[in-house]
Amino acid sequence: MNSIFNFRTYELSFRFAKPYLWISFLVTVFMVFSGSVIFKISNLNAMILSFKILFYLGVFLSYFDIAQRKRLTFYQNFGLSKIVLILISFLMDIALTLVFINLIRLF
Amino acid sequence: MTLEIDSVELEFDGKKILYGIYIKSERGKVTGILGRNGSGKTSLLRILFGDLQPKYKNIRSNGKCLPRPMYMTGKIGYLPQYSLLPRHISIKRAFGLFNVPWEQFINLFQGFRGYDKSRINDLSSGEIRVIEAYLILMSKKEIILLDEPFSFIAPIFVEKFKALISQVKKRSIIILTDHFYNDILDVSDTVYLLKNGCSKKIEDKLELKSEGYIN
Repeated sequence: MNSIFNFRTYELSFRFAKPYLWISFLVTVFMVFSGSVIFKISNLNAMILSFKILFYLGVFLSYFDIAQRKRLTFYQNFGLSKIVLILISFLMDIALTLVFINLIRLF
Repeated sequence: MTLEIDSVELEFDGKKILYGIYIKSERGKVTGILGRNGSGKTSLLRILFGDLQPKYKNIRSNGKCLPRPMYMTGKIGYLPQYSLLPRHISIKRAFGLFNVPWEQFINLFQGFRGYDKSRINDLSSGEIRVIEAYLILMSKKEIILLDEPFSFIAPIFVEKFKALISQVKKRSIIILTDHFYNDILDVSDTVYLLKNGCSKKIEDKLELKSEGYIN
């Protein structure tokens, strides 16, 4: 529980999340531009959210692979479980996406 | 402080790996685990760490059962056989995260002095191993698990690590395993041999011979 209030938890989570945030952000950019400019999709926000939920579900499942799981040991040494890391990554991603979408709306 | 594990039942693809295990470790004493390849040494450490869930297990700290994976408490450090640190992390940041002073490390391992601005992927695998073993040992955890800490490390560094282990055991429970049985026997106060899924307390080198671990 103490780890929630610890800056190190978020630094480590960001380190863990970095590759996923990049992939998710690039897909989000693609969805925003293609969905609003080319296809004129009305419920784009719901689509982006669905993509992110499915994406992080995929990330969660990928850690059942032995080679992938080894990456977790470093974070587990700081008391961080797979679920905590993926949940924080998801929340960081949502925050980043909200900032991006609101910035886009300004223009 | 004591740490005990028993009633372990672990099997992979129907093959029983561990089933007759009793290991007791305490602060102030180093516990060494020996065994042939595939005897379940690494699995046992992973069960203690909490990242491998067997069918059954009973882990107790000071006689109290620990049902949750121990790594979640943040009081346990585990050096796995494979590389621990992320490749792109800077060495200084790694020391910062583990809350271990860089200067203290440099005083002991002077050959690393020029690496303070390097990243982990700038080092050789042996050098990475030295840093990882040092960080886990010095991370002030209550329980320290070391899986093959002496492998890939130069003999001069092995001696330094053995001296460090003898210091750290005063404040932490240390459980380690390695194939360098002479080093394990040197540094351990209690030694267990894993054989046929069971653990046996070993008193001396002769017993290792009679158990067929060495010839």
